[in-house]
Amino acid sequence: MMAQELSAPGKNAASEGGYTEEYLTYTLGPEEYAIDILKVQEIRGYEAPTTIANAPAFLKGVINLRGTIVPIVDLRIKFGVGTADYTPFTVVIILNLGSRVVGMVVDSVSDVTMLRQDSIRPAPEFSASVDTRYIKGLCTLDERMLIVVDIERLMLSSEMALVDESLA
Amino acid sequence: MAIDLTQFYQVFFEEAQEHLDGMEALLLDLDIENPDAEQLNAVFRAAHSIKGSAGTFGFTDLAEVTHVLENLLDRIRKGELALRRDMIDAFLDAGDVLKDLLAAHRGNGSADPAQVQLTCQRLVALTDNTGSAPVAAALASEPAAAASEFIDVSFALEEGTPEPESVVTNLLAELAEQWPASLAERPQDADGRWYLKLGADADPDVLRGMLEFVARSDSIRIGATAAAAADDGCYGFFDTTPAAETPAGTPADDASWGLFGDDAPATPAAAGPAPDDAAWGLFDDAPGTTPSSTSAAPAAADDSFGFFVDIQTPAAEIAVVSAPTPGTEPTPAAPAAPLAAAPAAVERRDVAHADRRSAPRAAGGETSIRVDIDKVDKLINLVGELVITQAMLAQSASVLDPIEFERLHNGLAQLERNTRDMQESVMSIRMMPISVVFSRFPRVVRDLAQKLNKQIELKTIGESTELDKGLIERIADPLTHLVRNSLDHGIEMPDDRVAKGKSPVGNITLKAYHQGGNIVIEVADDGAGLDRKRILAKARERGFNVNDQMSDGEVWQLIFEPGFSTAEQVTEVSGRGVGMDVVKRNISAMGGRVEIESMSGIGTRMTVRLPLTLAILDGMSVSAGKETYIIPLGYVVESLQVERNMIRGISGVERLIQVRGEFLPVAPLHEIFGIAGAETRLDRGIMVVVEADGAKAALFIDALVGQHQVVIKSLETNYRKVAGVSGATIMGDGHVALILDIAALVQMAKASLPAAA
Repeated sequence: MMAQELSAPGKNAASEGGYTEEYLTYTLGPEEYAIDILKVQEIRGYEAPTTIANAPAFLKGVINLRGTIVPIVDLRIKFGVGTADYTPFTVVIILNLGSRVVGMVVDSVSDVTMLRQDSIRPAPEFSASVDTRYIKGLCTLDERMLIVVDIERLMLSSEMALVDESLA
Repeated sequence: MAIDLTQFYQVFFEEAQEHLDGMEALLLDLDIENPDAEQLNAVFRAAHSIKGSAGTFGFTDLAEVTHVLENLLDRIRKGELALRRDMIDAFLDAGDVLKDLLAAHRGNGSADPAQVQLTCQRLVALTDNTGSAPVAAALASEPAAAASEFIDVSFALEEGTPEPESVVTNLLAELAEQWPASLAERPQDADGRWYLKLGADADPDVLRGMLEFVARSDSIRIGATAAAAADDGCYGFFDTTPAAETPAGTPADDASWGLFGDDAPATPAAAGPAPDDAAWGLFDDAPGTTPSSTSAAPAAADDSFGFFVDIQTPAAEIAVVSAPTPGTEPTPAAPAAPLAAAPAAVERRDVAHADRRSAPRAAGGETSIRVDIDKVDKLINLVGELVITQAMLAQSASVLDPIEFERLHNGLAQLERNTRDMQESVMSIRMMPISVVFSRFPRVVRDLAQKLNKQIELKTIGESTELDKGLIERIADPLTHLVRNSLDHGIEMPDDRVAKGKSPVGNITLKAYHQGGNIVIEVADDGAGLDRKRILAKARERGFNVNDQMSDGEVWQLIFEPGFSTAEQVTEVSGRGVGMDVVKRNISAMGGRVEIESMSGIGTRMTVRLPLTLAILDGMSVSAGKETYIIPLGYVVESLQVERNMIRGISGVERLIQVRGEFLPVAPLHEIFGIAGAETRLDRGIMVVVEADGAKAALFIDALVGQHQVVIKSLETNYRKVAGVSGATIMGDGHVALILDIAALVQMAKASLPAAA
């Protein structure tokens, strides 16, 4: 089902004014986040990664993704939300950020939705789990609040420690 | 139908570069007191073919420099001038100038016209200054000046053209409407070639178009230089007396070579063999006995210099000039004449020039292709994936019953063999002989030795040893540093050497060979050797943590520290203390290491060990807790299980083991990597003794798992550098295993010692 939804990202032409884009939404604890679907390479189940010595706790390790070594980050541990247990239903979103491929573990993937750019409001200074620097804005969708995250900026930031300092 | 010459430029550049390199190598090899005639001839040929093709393609600046170069060479070759050291210097400088010019034409870098001028003057001065035949020398330099005034054109009419005279007259009249044109030479017979002289402003394309109305299109030759080939059958080749040369020494003298670069074998007026004609020096021993047509055939064949192998016309088209005496006008001979002679001649040529670089090329012109390196890399990556997949399959199948699944097992065994063969073949695509790197050193050593007033003999061994192209490119600079270092610091001044009872000539030996999965490159000198005391003193001065008990290996490694130099004075060459640390860093970055052996007064040997390729590594897989790690096999000295009585503590912490009287620091992997559930008691697990940078350490792990060839994957592509880890690989079960950075772990083990004390 998810694959079908993912494979139809073409309907982002504006129908009733405003410029719309497709977003993938996922939950982390009580909060629901949205990320640009064009940054998502695939969604897969969790497999035990090879741990990396002396890495921060949220970096679960690296996996072999069809011959590429991909680091896996558990956002639940990073942001201290939800329970970081690994079941057959734990999902990993594999992101393709420019030249890098990174996987992130979230509580659950909810949906793919179209969001109109003008419906995304700038975020006030508030305390979400994610630093407001990486938040593009807020958006309400069917009574729910979505936090729109600039996932590329977040993942490549120095606090995720995924990139060598000299390059970050 | 005009031929667009630009499409051949790339070929020209490459060939010219090759000739220049070949020329340089030959020059450096020349014995000045007693030059080998064959070598001189080879140098001459190299210069000559550059000139010929440069003329053809209209690179007049290149042609001019090679022209003066060639004049001097020619006189030396004929024994008119004695070879001197300053001539060799001038030749080498001219070679550099030519390289600059070539680079400028290729669009990278620029040539200094003043430098070009200077080099030409120097060569001309050298050519003239003995003055045994000043007239000839003066004349010889003329063509370059005259070159721009006329274009020489030659062609043969369509076969069976009626009234050739009137056709040509009409053509001339037509040509004369546009440019100054005159008839230079009539053919000797009906099928012969016509030679015209045209003003230099004639557009070759237009001209060719006009000529094609009447002439056989493949016979048209348009030369950029004043090459009245017919005026001069001798092409400056014959050892003629000045008297004979003077009338012949019109601009034609040898500028006609510009013509032959095109596709010379089809040119009838290839050469006028004379009894004393050296025919390019190919047949030094032959001219007296070889029929003239024979010696002309190889000359014609040789004109191409392996240049236009692709379009080389069949031997039948090689028309030969039968000119019994110098100065006689060339007569196109029957095409059949050289046929019989050609094979024999070619054979002779092969014998005489087995070492000529163009010879194998000519033979194998169509057997190699140029491929974008990215394509090769992609192929290598894919094969790497295939190896992993094959390993996964093998592992999955290993639990199946061998009898029931016999065919599957057989198939998998076959797959494994095929995969391995395929991997080897694919890797070999990237392999290149190390001679590519070594070939630059004769020049480096020569120049530097001259600058430092030292006498050095350079020996290279194992030049055909192959290694990965990527490594070839990256090893050149570090090796140059090592050689320069040996030359500057290692080899003593000749007087000192004599005082020590050594030969005044120092030896530097470059040696490459395979050992295990590594390629080993040695730079050895028989100089003074490293001075342990001075290095230690210097290290203390710099505040390094050193003591007198350090092993020689560790002391020598100090010279790789940044800012370390024991040179008493900074020279132009070295002594600033930058360099050796860069060498070390570059080599480490390639997954290699440098070892130094040195004996005072005997010499120093620096040994660089590199993996054969950057893509695959021989590794030992070991386990600690649930994790599997790969230790590159090259670092492993031995593995052993220790007894309690071998373990020594420092301040109550067990940090040392004693192996055969040697104390080794222990690097417990579970501690360094924080692995839970691993064996912690030193006498329970396994110690793998590893050696890196001259220091040993014992890596403590749970168990040895196996030995594999692993495909190296970078962690940094998607993640970052991890201390103690040099990369990652994918194991047979699809899991990722980390490859340990042994050099870093040995450092960590050493560093943890004082902390524990």
